[in-house]
Amino acid sequence: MAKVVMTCPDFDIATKSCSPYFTKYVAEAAGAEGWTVVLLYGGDAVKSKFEAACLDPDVVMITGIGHGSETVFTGQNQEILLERCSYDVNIVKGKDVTHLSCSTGAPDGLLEDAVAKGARGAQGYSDVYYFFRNTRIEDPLQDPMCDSFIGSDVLRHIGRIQGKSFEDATGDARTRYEEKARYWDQVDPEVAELLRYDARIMVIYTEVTPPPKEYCWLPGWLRRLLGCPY
Amino acid sequence: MSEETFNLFREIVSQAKKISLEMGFEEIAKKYEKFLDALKLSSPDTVDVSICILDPGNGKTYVIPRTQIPALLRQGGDEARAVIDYWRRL
Repeated sequence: MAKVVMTCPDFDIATKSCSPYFTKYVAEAAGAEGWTVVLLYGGDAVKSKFEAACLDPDVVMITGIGHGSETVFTGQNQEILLERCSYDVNIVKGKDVTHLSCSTGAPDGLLEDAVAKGARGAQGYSDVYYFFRNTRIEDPLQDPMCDSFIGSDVLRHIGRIQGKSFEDATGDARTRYEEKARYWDQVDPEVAELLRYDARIMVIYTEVTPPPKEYCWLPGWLRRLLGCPY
Repeated sequence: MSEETFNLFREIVSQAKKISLEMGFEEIAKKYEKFLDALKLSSPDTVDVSICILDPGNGKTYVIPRTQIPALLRQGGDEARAVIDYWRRL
């Protein structure tokens, strides 16, 4: 049976706001497809438990939320769970790595490295992720502002669980970000602009693309004469 | 929301892209105050909310109530820089 490892730290407002969207919507989608959810919530979102869970051969997806940067994805109290070039490749090999985190999808960053190490594909953000939160509404799932952001992101992970391509799954999220941005255009331009920014920085890695082969239009005899490397 | 409110926010973003620490943030703080005042009239529920901002410079995360942004800009510390940095990305 397919398993998904889901990390949901809950130590600050950012993580406490995002984790419920995963434990509800992504976990429900996984259950509906007959997947087992290995939930690493709060104090369980630590490196030792994360690594042990991901090395289970039935795991096909690593998802969840956590603070991140170009090189690291973190769990509870920002404990590093994955660091570029310094993890057991079996953690990611053959799996989707798809999470909500700042900057892990930057060029030459953690997600690109994961795909180079054998991950089936990866979805993330190429730059800093921002969102609005109305903290007067205790439950983040009931906060329309927070829902516009995080409720859009989760569609990427749900799409993959439902068997969609990476492009279609991210496309679902992009469509919802834009729908919400159109609503907020009428109410608050800062929220609308921020939704469009987050949609813009979504990235997918499905293979390590080799650098394009250089082409030189000069005739062969002239290239040889000039020492042209192509 | 009026077109004037929309244009005011675009001005803030545009100014954030040009601003330097030496210039100080007083002018942009005033503009953001004006923007929040306009929002209070058209969409009062959206004013008293926070924005989650990560400062890539120091890795710290800030949860900044919108209404405190003008005061933070005037203080000019790390949080002010993080706000400016966020607007620059829009």
